Amino acid sequence: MAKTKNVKKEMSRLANFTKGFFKENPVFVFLLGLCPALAVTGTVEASLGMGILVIFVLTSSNVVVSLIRKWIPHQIRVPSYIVIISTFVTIVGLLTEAYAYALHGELGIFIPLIVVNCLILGRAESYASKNKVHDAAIDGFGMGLGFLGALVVIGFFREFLSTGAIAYGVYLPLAETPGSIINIDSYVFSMDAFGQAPGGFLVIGLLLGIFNFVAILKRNKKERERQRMIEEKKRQALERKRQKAKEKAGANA
Amino acid sequence: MSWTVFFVAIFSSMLINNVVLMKFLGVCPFLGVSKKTNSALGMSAAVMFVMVIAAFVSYLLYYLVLVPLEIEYVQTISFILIIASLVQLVEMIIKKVSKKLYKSLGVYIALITTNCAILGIAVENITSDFAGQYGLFPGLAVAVTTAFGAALGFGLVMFAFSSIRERLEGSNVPEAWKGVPVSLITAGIMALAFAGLGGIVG
Amino acid sequence: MDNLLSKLKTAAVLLIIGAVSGLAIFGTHTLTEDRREENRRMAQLAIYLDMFDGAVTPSDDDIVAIEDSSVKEMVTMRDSSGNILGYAFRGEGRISHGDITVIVGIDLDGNIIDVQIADSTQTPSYVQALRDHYLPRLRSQSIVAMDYGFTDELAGTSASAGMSFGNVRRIIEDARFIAADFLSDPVMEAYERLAPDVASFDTFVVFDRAFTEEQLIKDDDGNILAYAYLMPLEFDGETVTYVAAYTETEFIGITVFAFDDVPQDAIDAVEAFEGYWNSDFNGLTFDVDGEIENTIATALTELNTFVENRTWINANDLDYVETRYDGDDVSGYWFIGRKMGYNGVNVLEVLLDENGAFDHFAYNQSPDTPDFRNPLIDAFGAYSGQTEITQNEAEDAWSGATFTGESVYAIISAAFQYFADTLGDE
Repeated sequence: MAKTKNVKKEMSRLANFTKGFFKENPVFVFLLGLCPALAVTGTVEASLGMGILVIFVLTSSNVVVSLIRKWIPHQIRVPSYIVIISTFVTIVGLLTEAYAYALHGELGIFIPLIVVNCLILGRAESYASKNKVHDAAIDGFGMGLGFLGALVVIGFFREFLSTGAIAYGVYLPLAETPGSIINIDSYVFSMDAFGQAPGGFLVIGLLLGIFNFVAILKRNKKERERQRMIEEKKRQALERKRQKAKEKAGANA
Repeated sequence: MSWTVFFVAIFSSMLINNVVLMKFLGVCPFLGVSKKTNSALGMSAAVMFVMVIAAFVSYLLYYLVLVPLEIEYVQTISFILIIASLVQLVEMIIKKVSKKLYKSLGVYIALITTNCAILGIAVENITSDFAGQYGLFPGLAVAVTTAFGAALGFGLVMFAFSSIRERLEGSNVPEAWKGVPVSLITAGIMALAFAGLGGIVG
Repeated sequence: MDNLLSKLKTAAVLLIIGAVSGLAIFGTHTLTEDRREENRRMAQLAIYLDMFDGAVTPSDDDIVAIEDSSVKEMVTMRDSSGNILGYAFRGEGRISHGDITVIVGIDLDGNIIDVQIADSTQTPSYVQALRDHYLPRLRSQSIVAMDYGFTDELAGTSASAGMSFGNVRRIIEDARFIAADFLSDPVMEAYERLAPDVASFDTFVVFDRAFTEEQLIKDDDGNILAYAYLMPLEFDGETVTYVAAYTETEFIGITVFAFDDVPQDAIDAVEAFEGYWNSDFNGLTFDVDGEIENTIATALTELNTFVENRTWINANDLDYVETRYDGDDVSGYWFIGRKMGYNGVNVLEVLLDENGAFDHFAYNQSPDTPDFRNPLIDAFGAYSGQTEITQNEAEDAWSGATFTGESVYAIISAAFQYFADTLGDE
């Protein structure tokens, strides 16, 4: 009996970790933290950097909020969360400036703005303040990863469409000298607008639309499947009815 | 310092460096509260109110408290606390002064703490080093003007976007693109138009 | 009691959170302070270090702040054993379209290593045009004989590119004057022989005669010390640039830009003119022997005639007028005037005939967009032979070029006025 209970808990922990990837993706599903998702996703590396910072802040603030959740009086919980979050943001900002200076310059104002990323305050309020420390940590890390994933996907399309290449080593200390993973030298991939402001909106809009489209296709397929099953059943019922009628007729005859 | 500085500050922060379309600040309310023109205008008014006051207070806080104490690195935390308490204060004052105004703005004011445009403009006013360029108090005037222009720009884009969305409601959008996706693409096209203004003033 | 307790508890919690958060931030700040400081410095210096091969991070003593100049900072770049590699200059320019930061690197031989735009809020596409098409041509040029070659191709791209260019050029010029104190600079040395207090010089008017350029030589306070004229003369396929200087009343002297590749006899030739230094230029003739000396004398006589026939006006946008002769008869009046156009100062030549009727005008120097300014030459050509131009008639031709058109109109009108007031009575 105890064994099954344990397994169930393990499962839910895994689900807790992975829920932010697709089902509850903060950017694509809940549209949280759109400001950084639009602003710093001009390149994959900047997206990656922002994602890492958010994972750090989100996990740490979730842990701390969960740790002290029982001591914080209800009426001052939001200011307390804000203080906690901005403490971590400041620390992260200082660390970035010390160890990834180029990234600090690229993300610029969006590092202090992590404070007002609704994702972080949202998780503190809705999850960390009600759950145990390890659950809160897993939730923060998973959600952060989901956020990072979304940013990197957006960054990939934007950087690829605007430069035809995916560069590395420019902002993050990933390599001794900067290089690029993909590099297609073609005029087709020099649509500057995608690297700049308008591209952010367009790429997220297009991606959301495509995701919706796929979801709708899937739903339609399921719908058709169901419809077919119903038809099939109807047909079978009709068949049986006919059979019965035939038998009846045969018997009568 | 000539008066053109103020003109340039308003013009550039309103149109060329538009908070929403060029700097991506305040995207959440931009998408969230823009379904109806009325609520878009309400939100814009509330933002203007808080943004200008926040720019004023945060500038003074930075140069009169943080700089003399040499603790510029607590900028983020002090600004967000100032903004949060400012929002509370403004809400209380509006409630006391005018019930009617509170009814129309109250809902939006509560949402403003997490509007990154407010904090963003406050921080950017510091990084732009107006104090170094024009002196402490003229710099304050420029900072407040910039905030005012940014709020005007926010209002302009909110109004335009909400009008477009009201029209979109009635149009035949493919099912997958209904709602947020088509709004984002609309915003992208608006941003393209605004990008064309770049370079008019620095 | 309970109420008070819960309030105390709230206050205590807030206090503890605040204290812990303050401590955490302060701790991180203290731990990372040095590293961040170093990063910031490195980011500023990186562009200098990139320019100079083998340079090491400069010490504070090697970084000198400069005032009253578009150049804000001069950095002496050294290699690891302390030998000077050259000098880097950081200059800033500001126009209504934004700011621009330019780094100029100059080596010990006085050659430009590189010019880079480090930072700019000016219109990006124009700045990029400068970066792509213009800055590369400056590399490895000698600072004493800069060929800026800013031609209409780039000016034609836009008004703003022209202004950004103006900023860059100003900074290079200023860097060059500062560098001249550290490096040997034949141009500055030549000017010092003519006017010992020289601190800067500026192009004033360009010519296509034996002398090609008139320059204003100024002292530290910006007072004009002399007018210098460049005379590039050709000997055996080598061009040697002589420079003669005048005040408003006197011939100061003549000397040569003694670059490394200038033949010694071309340098020595100017000694023959030493007897004429500092004398009244009216009626001056040069009597010298030798082939090189005679070539110089011919050019100098042409220059002297121009100076004799020139009357300074210095009013109503007009600088001066040259009375032109055909034999002994006056054949025309050649005015030089300058006025703010759209992009900067337009220098105009206006020719009136002996009766004060308009003949033609030409751009001596103009930063304005060629597509706007050139049609004006034809448009104003229609007034040839007239002694008056009314603004209304010409307005159509000016649409789209209002500022340029206004400046042309103003200078031509000033020339008419000057003729009526002064020349016509003679």
